[in-house]
Order: sequence, then C-alpha cells, then structure tokens
Amino acid sequence: MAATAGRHAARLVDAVSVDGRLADVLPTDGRSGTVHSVHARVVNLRAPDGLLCCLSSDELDDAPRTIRVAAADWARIDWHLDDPVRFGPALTHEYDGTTVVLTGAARWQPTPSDAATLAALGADDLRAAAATIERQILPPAHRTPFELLSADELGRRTTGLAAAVRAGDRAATTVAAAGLIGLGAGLTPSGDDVLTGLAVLAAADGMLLERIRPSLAEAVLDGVPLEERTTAVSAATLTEAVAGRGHQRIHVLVSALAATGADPALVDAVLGVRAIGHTSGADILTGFRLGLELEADLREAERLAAPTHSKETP
Amino acid sequence: MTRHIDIRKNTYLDSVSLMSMSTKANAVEGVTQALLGMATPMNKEVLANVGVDDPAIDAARPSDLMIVIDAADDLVEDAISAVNDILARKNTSADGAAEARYRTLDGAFTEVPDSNLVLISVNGAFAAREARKALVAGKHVMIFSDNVSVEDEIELKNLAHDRGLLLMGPDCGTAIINGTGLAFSNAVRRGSIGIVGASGTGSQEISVRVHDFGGGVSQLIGTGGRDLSAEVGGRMMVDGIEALAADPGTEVIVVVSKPPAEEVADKVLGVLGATGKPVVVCFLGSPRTESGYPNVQLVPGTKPAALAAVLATGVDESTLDLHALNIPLIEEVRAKLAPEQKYVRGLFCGGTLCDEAMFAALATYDNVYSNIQKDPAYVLGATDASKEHTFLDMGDDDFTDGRPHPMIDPSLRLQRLVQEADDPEVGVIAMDFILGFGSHEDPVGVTVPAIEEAKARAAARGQHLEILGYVLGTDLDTPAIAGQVAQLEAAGVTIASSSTNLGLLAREFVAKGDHR
Repeated sequence: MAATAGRHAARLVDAVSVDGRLADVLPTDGRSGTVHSVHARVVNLRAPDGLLCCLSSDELDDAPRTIRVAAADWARIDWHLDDPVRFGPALTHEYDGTTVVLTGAARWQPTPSDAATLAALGADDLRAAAATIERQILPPAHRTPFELLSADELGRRTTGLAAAVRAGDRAATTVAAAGLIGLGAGLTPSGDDVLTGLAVLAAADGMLLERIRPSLAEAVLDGVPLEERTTAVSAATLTEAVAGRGHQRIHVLVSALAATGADPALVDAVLGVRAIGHTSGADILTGFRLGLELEADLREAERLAAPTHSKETP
Repeated sequence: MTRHIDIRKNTYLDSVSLMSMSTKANAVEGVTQALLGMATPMNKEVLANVGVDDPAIDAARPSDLMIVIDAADDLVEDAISAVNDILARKNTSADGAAEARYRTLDGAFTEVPDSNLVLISVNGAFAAREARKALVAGKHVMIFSDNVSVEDEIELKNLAHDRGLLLMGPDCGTAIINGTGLAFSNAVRRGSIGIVGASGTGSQEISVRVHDFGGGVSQLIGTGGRDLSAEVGGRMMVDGIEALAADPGTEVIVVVSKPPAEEVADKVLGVLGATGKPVVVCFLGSPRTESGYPNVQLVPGTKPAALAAVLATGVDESTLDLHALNIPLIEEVRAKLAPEQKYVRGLFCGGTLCDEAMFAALATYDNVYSNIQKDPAYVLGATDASKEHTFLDMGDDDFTDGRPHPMIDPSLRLQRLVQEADDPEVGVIAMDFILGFGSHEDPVGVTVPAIEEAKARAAARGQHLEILGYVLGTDLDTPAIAGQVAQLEAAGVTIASSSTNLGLLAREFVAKGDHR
C-alpha cells in the first residue's frame, strides 16, 4: 500500500459550485499548493502555479476564482495558514485528508447583462440609479485613524480619476486608476474595491464606459507586478474585475439597473452588494455609483454631439 | 512619546479584525494614535504624508500588516499587548480552547519540550528534512509521507539507530505506541503482543485479529514498506525487534511483511532467534516454512499469525472461536453460480489484504492478474481491463496518482465494482472495508448503492453475483464493526471473518474442480 500524505482522517466534502473559468485552469496534476490565508467563511489557497483561489462557504455568493461548499460542511474545512493542499482532481488537505470534491459542482459564470436594456437607459435613469446607491452607502459608524487618513486620499484620487475619464484622457485615466490600487484599509484596500465596482460596470454589455476598460486594464495589469502594489487577495479580485468578472451580487446589480429609481429590485441588489465583506461592499458601490455618473455624462455628451435633425434646420 | 513600529509578516486580517485591533489599541490610555494597515505602496504613502516613515515600513510588503503606535513611553507595551490579544484571539478555537498548532518543528519543541515522538505527514520532498530535525532533537519519528528517496531513508535510519531512536517509515501507515494509535490504526485492547510490520494493513489486520482472539497489543511498530529491501537491509525492523525484545510489557513478538530480500530475511530471523521470546513471523507469499530458530515460528497468513501469537501468551485454543472456513457456505455459493462464472475480481483498499487474497488464489490458479503481481506477464495497469482472476490494490500508486486514496475517495472503486459486474464470467467480487482512526467515516454505507447496482446488473442477465466483503475493524472502532457488517449483510453481501478467510473463500467459491 502506498501511503499518500494526508490520507488519514479521511473526509470528503462536495463543492456546491465552482467558478467555471477557474475549474478550467486549476492544476489537477497532484502538485501541492498552500493555504494562503484563513477567514471565518473563506480559505484562500495558493495553487502550485501561483494562482490564488478561494474556498468559501455557500453563505457567500459565487465569485471569480471561488469554490463554494455547503455551509453545513464548512466546519469540516479546518485548514490553517501554510498547510499544504494537493491539487488533483479534487483538493486534498495533506495533513488531515479533508478532500473537496469538485466533480458535480455547478459551474458558475457571471450573469451576462442585457445590452439592449442597458443601452436604452437615459442619462437621467442612470443618475437616478446612482442616487439610489448613494442613499444606501451609509457612512461608517466608526473609522479607525488609518481609515480617516486614507479616506481623504481616496476621495481626492477618486475625484481625479473621474476628471480624467470625463476629459477622455486615456493616459491620465490609467495613471489615476493606478493611484487607487492598494490604497486604504482592509484586506482588499478601499481603492481596489472602488476600481472593482467601476471595472465590472464598465465591462457590462451596452455601456459607453467600455472605452475606459483599456485604461483600467493597463493600470491593473501593466507595470509593477500587482502583488507588489496590493494584497494578494485584492490582486486576484482586481485582475478578474478588469476582465469584467466580480461577485455574482455585482452582476445582479448590473442586471437590476433596468429597474431604476427607488425600485425595490434595485434597492435589494444594492443592499446585496453592500453586504460584501465589512467595508468592501460600500467601496464597490462607490465605484459602481461613480461609473453610473460617468456613463450618464458620456451618454449626454454623445447625445449632444449627435447630428442635429434636418427638420430643425431653418 | 515613543513611536513603536511593528511589521507582521504575511498577516491577512479582515476589516472587522483590523478595526477591532485598532479600536482596542487606540483605547489604551496614553496612546496618541495607533495606525494599522496593509503595507501597500499607496498606504505607505499615506503614512509618509503624516510623517510616519521608517526603514521597517519601507521594507514591508503588501502582504504584511503595518502597526504604528504612538504612545507615552511607559504605555507602548500596553498598546502592543492589546493588539497581540486580538491576534491571539484569532488563533483560539470556537470553544475558547487555544489550539496547539505550531508552524515549525522548532516551535513545537520549544512549547512541548518533553514530546518524544514526531509524526511527519508533509509532502515527501520535505519529509526527510523534517525527520532529520526531529531526530537531531532526540525525538522518535514516524514518517507517514511517501516519495522519500531510499538514500534519505538509509541515512535517516542510520541516524536514528546511532541515537537510539525509532525511525518508522517512510510510507509508514500505522503504529500503536504505548496505546496511542498513529495514522491509520484500530482501537484494540492493550496486551502483551508486540508487532513489527513492514506492511500497514497487514499490521492492522494482525492487531485486529489479536483483539478478536481476546489478546492485546503492547506496541505496534511500523517500519515502512521498503525496510526489508536489500538496499535498506531491515534497519528499522531490527531496531523495532530489539526494542520489543527489551520491552518488559511484550511477551510475544509478531513480524509481518511481504517477502523480504533473502539476505535480509536471514538477518531478521537471526535477530528474532536471539530475542529468546516467542516469535511469530508472517512473510506473506514467501516459500519459507522453517525459520531455523526454535523460538521463531513461520506462518503463512495474518490470521494464523494472530492466532499463534495469542496461543503463545498461554491462551487455551479450545476457548477460542477460530472462525473456521464455512464449508457448507462454499457449497451453497458454488451452486448459485453459473458454469461460466469462474473468476474472482478483488477490489482492495489495503495492499496487504490484496496481497493475501492474491496469494491464496495463486496457490490454486495460474491465471491471476494484478497491479502488484511480481510476475510481469500477469501485471495489469490501473487503466487495463481486468482479466480472468484479477486482484487490484487500488491504494497503490497506479490508482492514487493525482487523486485521493480509496480510503478517502471511494469513487474509483465504486465505478470499478459496477464495471466488473458487467462481466458474465465473474462469479465473485471480493472487497475490503477498513475501519478505524483515519479511515472513511462510513466505508460500507458509501459502497452499498454500488453493490446493489452490481448485483442488479448480474440479475438482469439471470446470474447471481457473489459479493464477498471483509470489514477490518473492532467493536471499539468508530464506526464499530457490527454496524458495518449489518449494512453489508442487508445488501446481500457475504462476510468473511478475516483477511485470510476472504482470500480462501473467494478462491473456493469459484473453484470448479478444473483448477490445478
């Protein structure tokens, strides 16, 4: 009998869903990765090829690079920092043998947006949606001294990014977006969350903001390696965001934009995003709201620039 | 006023924890400000903008947590300890008990200086390094990992020997030391029979059979499967035997292994002969019948080994249930099988259990195929279809490459079970179910649906398919053996009472009178 490290304490845990794109690229050759970080309902894993991915309880929603297991099984994932995990057809903890089985897990892909519906929204609709979001971004009950310091900087830099986008200055947009990366408190710094909200909205079909995507991608993917500019978890989140992929709740919010104003469906979707993490949700909404206002501006500018109708010609 | 700067490497805290730490640190009397943030370049800029600049901050990476505390000179320590409290709480389990987890062996040795045994279960590439550390620190070592080079194994065993320590493994799947089971093991009575085993499930099987015969185990020492090869030369086997010889709690010694290299077998038997204690040796599949030493008895199987050991402790054989082969049962099963159902398919989790069943078949038939066959003409790969009599050790590397062991993930064995049932020439499918610490929580329950499917497929073509099961476990195991056996019986499975009997029954069920 050939002993395989960790086969004792055998426990099988079925994954309920897995990011379909992750499932396609996850190593399955039996090499070992490690537990990167551990939180209450999330265990981040570093795959042997360096890819950071995430194991989470299904109390959290689907998200890029995420494998979810049923909440009832979560207590069985007693994995700790730096523990080795074997990436085979399943994920096996090498010390206690807990094995997360991916076979049979639902493959998640972000819900695609309805391009026609989004394209049909007027600038006023978008501003109304932005106002709805604004009302739901509650000021934090308490801010740490570091958050207060970084919030000031975040505000200034977000305003700078908006100005660059409005000016249509691609290079300045890239620089301004890069200036947000790694800024702020938290595991995913606030600046990264703002960019995530903006980037996922910009990638939705039917948005004029599509034109800023190259700048956002350059800011995130080019130059100094991202993991030297922000935390590893945030680097993974940002990389996916500029590819148009975020928490399922953000995609639900994009879809809910058809219900503008104070429509309950929109409010529910906003509240859903706000619940992501402790402060991340509010920061994502900040970026999303900024995107809606920028989109409204772009649409208005396009309308004004359109050729005047002939019958109005004297 | 003192500024204390602390960089915590690779510390990933969520926002709630960061806020909690910050609040607590800032609430300490005398603290002017406590700033906590991840050490990204942008956050360093934020600090620099308010005059917080330090080489430690410059050197920090985005994965590090920066803690900056400005406080009255005599209060900095209180603020630091407030932060440390929060960090410590994150390392406390839900019931409030602090978990004893150490990231390095050195850390564990410092905290538990009187520990004397280290169980190593890490990637094989790192196992030798950790084992060396443990031996140098004066600890006995059990290496559960495989993929350790033979050169490292020899060096480690020499080092252990020189220091009077045990080096069990690599690839050592079971041990019971002073009543504590390590890795895979069964809950067995303590007693006076000491076991040294170079085969994991073979050692487990003997410990369970000893328990079943009313005996008990003093120590079960594993050597690793390669110990009795010519290269390693039985280094650990010899040390293990000598340890049991010197152990006043061990009256009888049992040795179990697949056939050793001839010269190693001679050496081991010589050492056993010199112990002066009653010894039972089971070299599974070995043609030897005589040890050459009056105190050393050679037996052909695991059950005879356990029985001989228990009898050597003075137990009266007439008081034991020997679980003799049930001859009427054999006749009954033969009558149910169609003439063309002449082959056994064995699907095993335990390598030694597979070996024992295969050797039983080889004693009668020539056409016995396996992934662990010594005769190259009869070797099957994991992806090969079964042929005639086939016995598969599904825990072997062929089957576990890149996937969990069948004792963890039974899916491959379940598929194979149903696949074998489609062969109309198959009369018997033999399977083992291994209970105990480290094993699947319900190995029978997870298999029953596939057993039912297999039987249904045979029935659909008008055949009876005999499924023969053996549950390796005791009444003290969790789950207990009785419940597992009851589930199998309810699914129409015939139960063998031992690994030895499993092989004999499987062989005899399909015997048609035309075998050699």
